[in-house]
This record gives sequence, structure tokens and C-alpha cells, in this order.
Amino acid sequence: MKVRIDSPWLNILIPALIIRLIFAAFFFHPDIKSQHFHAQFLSRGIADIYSFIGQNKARLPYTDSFNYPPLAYYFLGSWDKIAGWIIGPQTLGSWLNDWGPLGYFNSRMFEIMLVLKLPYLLFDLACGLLLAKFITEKKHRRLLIIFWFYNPVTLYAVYMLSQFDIVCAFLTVAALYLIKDRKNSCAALLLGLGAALKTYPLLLMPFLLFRSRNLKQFIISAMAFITAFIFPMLPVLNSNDYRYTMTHSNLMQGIFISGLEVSPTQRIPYYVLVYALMLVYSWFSRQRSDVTPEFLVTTFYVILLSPFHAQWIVWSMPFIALLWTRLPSSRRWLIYICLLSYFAVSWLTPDQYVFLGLFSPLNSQSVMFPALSEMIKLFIDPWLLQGLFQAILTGSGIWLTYFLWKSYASE
Amino acid sequence: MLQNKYWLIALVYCLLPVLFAVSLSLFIRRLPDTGQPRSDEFIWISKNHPVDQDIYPGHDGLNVVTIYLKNVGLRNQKPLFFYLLQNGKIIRRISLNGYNVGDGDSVRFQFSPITDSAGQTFQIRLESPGTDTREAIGVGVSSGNISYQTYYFPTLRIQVLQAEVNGLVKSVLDFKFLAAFLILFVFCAGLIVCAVSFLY
Repeated sequence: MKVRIDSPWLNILIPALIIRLIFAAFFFHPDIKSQHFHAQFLSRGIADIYSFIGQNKARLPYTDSFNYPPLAYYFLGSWDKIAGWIIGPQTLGSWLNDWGPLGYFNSRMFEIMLVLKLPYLLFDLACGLLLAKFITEKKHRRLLIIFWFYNPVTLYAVYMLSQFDIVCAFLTVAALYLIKDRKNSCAALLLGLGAALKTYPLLLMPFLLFRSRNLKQFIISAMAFITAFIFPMLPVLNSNDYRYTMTHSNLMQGIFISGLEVSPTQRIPYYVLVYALMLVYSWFSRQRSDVTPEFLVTTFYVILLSPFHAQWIVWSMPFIALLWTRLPSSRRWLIYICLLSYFAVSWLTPDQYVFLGLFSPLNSQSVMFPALSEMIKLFIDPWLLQGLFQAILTGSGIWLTYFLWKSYASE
Repeated sequence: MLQNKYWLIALVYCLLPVLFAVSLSLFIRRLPDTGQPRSDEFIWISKNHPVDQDIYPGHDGLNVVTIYLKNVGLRNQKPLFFYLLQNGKIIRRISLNGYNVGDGDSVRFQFSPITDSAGQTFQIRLESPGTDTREAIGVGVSSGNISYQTYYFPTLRIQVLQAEVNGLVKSVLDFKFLAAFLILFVFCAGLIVCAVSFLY
């Protein structure tokens, strides 16, 4: 197909691209600086960043640990090198190593942010375009494109919070596409790469293995996953600092926090219960090659049933976009409620960099404001309010997944 | 009309954060003044080793000094004193505890505004008389000067708004940013056109 300049695709995608470039430049979260501060050591030949930080804590200007798997370090480190060529190694290096009183500011902040977030933009665009491939009906495809490219949640989580979760989200979408296409070993490889960047795609792997047609395909898929997952870890496997960082992952701690107390010493974690039920259900419906419901529930219920980090919503957004096209228009308000309560819960987190602090490149005064929860606590208990919004989020999320199951059951 | 809809949404998405960010200046009355922002190395505050730095505010109303401090492993829990001196005389004094200093953290020392600070010379002193060398607190330094930033309290609220809008316009119209924006836009738009023609 030849794309004309007045194609409806471009009329939707070009304004969306401009929004993304503007958002990428105008917002800053300290995590992008700390991630690239660590990542810059890759071009100095440091393969094991975990031990390097442990051994050099006293002389490093920033001493927090690198909290992501090694592939994230190699990925960010490689991009940091390219970004240095574009921005100028002196400008970028000088900003990354300045943790002084104005360390979060720079006269070339817009340019630095734009270049550092460019990979996220590419994965975000690729994710949206790949998602459209799932839908054959023209009207629904258009709906999905509009939802993906114009929803404020993706813009917030990818460009304002400046996190690389979108890379994993793209890998899981690509894996989902390949599973539907019965290319399980390629899908396993992508899930392995995703799990090597952030842990959560590990949880999606069983659903893929259940779809193996025979023992040979099961073994090949498992090997592909393990290879992609383990290979980037090889340089750091002996590092104690690495093992400590990985065993204290926020996801692994978070999903066990909320649960049903069955005795003073025992509790059933809600998320683990839902995940176990999902495994059983998926096993019994393993003839179905579309694992969208499993992928949606596994990623979305982390947000619904555990204390989450705001950027984790990106894990489930592609699957929510697919669900969006299946929902009758009379039920779409549920998604609006869900996403609005997501914003409320996130912004009430006691951290100035989930809301006002993000505006610092546009207005340096914004970092003087405390977290929103601090500001409102004179009038209302912020934890009570956050709990209320979390309840709305969880309730509407459960309803949404109920509709999804119903639509799959009726097929 | 339908085609214009997306451009209108894009305009709203891009303008809203700018207007919101600018409006924040109406609620804060503090503007950055002089400083030494870079921090490459450390000098250490301990029992017999206070740290001094001369500062030269450019505006009246000096009321905040932020200094980059490092309490390695959060070991230090001894009193830490901040003094602002003029001609050797202490004019402002703030005490805190090492426990309030992070392992690499910009600490804000806020005091009542000095109305006629513009063009004057002041001295900052940091002391911790009870601190051993093993638990010394690091002060970020660059080229022999400690890493600090001063702020002043402007007399009119509109000054803050003006300063922020000027800074924003200057940053947006910066040639390097505009060039990077344009190149990346053309590059990504080209990718979109290729991807759409290939996939659909």
C-alpha cells in the first residue's frame, strides 16, 4: 500500500508524533538521570555495574544502586553513547555527573531529554503500529490507533515518568503476536529479552509454554527463553551486589504485600491467588492461541492488587487498548473511570516527582512544591483518599476484565 | 474538520502543560541567584575542619542557600551548623543533625530574607564540632569552590512569572533544541510513513 500525504493514518499519527516529541522534551524525572548516570560507565568498560557501585560508593557523586537487570544497563549504556554523540559527550557527561544543588537543571535540558527519550518514542510508535496489526476490521483498527496514540496514560508513563517499561511492553506485544501466529519459540525469545530488561515478562512465560503443540516445541521455547534471559546476566552472575539488587525487586516485594489474612502468621496474597487461577484456567483452555486475556490479567492485576509504581501501567496498556476495541461503546466509561483513578492513585503517592516535580524543565519553581499528598493533608487524609481511588481502580478494573472474559467466552 | 480534530487535540496536549507550568510561578516566590552548581570532588567537615565559602548575591532578598552534602552510609548523626557571616559577624545561624543529610543530597538552608544583599560579600561556614574524621560530612566542591546555589525573595510576584516565562522562551527558541526537534521529527515521520506502507 502506498501512503498518501493526506492518508487518514498520517492525519492521526503525525499530530501524535508532535505530542510525543513535545512531551519527551518538556518533562524530567530524576530516574532518567540516575539510570544514565549508571549507564555511562558501560562506555568506560565496566561490565558489572552492581559491583562497581558497591566498591566505589565513597567517591561516586550518586550512590544509589542500579535497580534493574543487566540488559537494562547494556541497553541504556549503548544509547547513552549514541546520545553523547548527538548532544556532545562533554555536555551530557557534565550534566550526568553533576549532583550538585542544580543537578536536575541544565540550560540544554529540552535537547537532552528529547535525545535520551528517543528510544522510548521509537518503541512506543512500534507498539502502536504492531497493535493495529491485531485488528482486521478497519473501524476497530482506527479506534485502537486513536486510543493508543492519544491516551494520556501512555504519555504520562513513558514521556513524563521517563521510564523504559515501554521497551518491555513492545516485546510482550510482539510475543503475543507471534503466539497467535504459532511461532512460539520466537515469542519465547522475545519474552526472555523482556524478562532480562524487567522481571514481569517472566510471569507471562507459562501461558506460552501451555500453547506448545508437543514436547519438542515446549523444550525449544523453554531453551529460547532461558538463553535470552540468562545470556545478558553472565558477566554479573558472580556479583553479590547483583544478587542483592535482584532479590529485592519492587515487583517481587509488591505482589506479596496485599492479601487475605487466614491466621496471625499466614496470608494469601491476592495477586498470587489470581495468577494461580489464571494458570489453571489457561491450562484448560490451551487450545486457544490468543493469550490476550492472560497477558492482560497478569499485567493489569499488578496495578489492581498491589502497591504499584506509576510506570507499571505501561505493561498492561497495549492489552487494555485491545480490550478497548472489543468493548461496546456503552461500556467504555469503565476504562475512563479506571484510568482517571489510576492518575489519582499515582499522584497521591508521597513523591514530588510523580506530578509537579515533572514540570521542572518548564518551570524550575515546580521542584519547590512538596508532593501532592503533603499539600492536601491539612484538609483531608491523603492515604484515605488514595485508598478510595485504589478501590475504584480495582473495582472498575475487575469489571473490565469480566467483560473481556465474556467476549472471549462468546467466541 | 475531522482531520483538524487531531491537530486541535495535539495543540491542547502541548499547550496545557506549558500554561500549567507557568501558572505554578504564581504560588512560589523564590528565584535562583548566584551559585557554583558543579560538584566533582569533596572536602570533608570534621571536628577541627570547618568549611568556608565566600558568596556574592546579585539580588536583594537573599533567603536560601542550598549546598551539596554527603553523609557516607548515613553514619554521621552529630550536630551540623550553618552560619552566614558578613564582615566576620554571624548574621544567620541554622543547626541541623547529620541524620538529616543524605548520602549525596542538596541540603536547603532557609532563613529570613536579607533585604539589601545585592552586591554584598557574605561568607558561608559549615561546622560540626562533634564529628570525627571517620564520619566526616563531605561537601561537594568544584575548582576549589564549594558547590552551592543561592536564591532570593523577589519583592513582586510578577518578577517570578516574568523570569520563568523569559527562561522558557529562551530555552524553546534555542537553536540546538529546534534543530534536534526538527531532525527527530523528520526522522520519526519518515519511519512512520515507511512502517505504515510496509505493514498495511
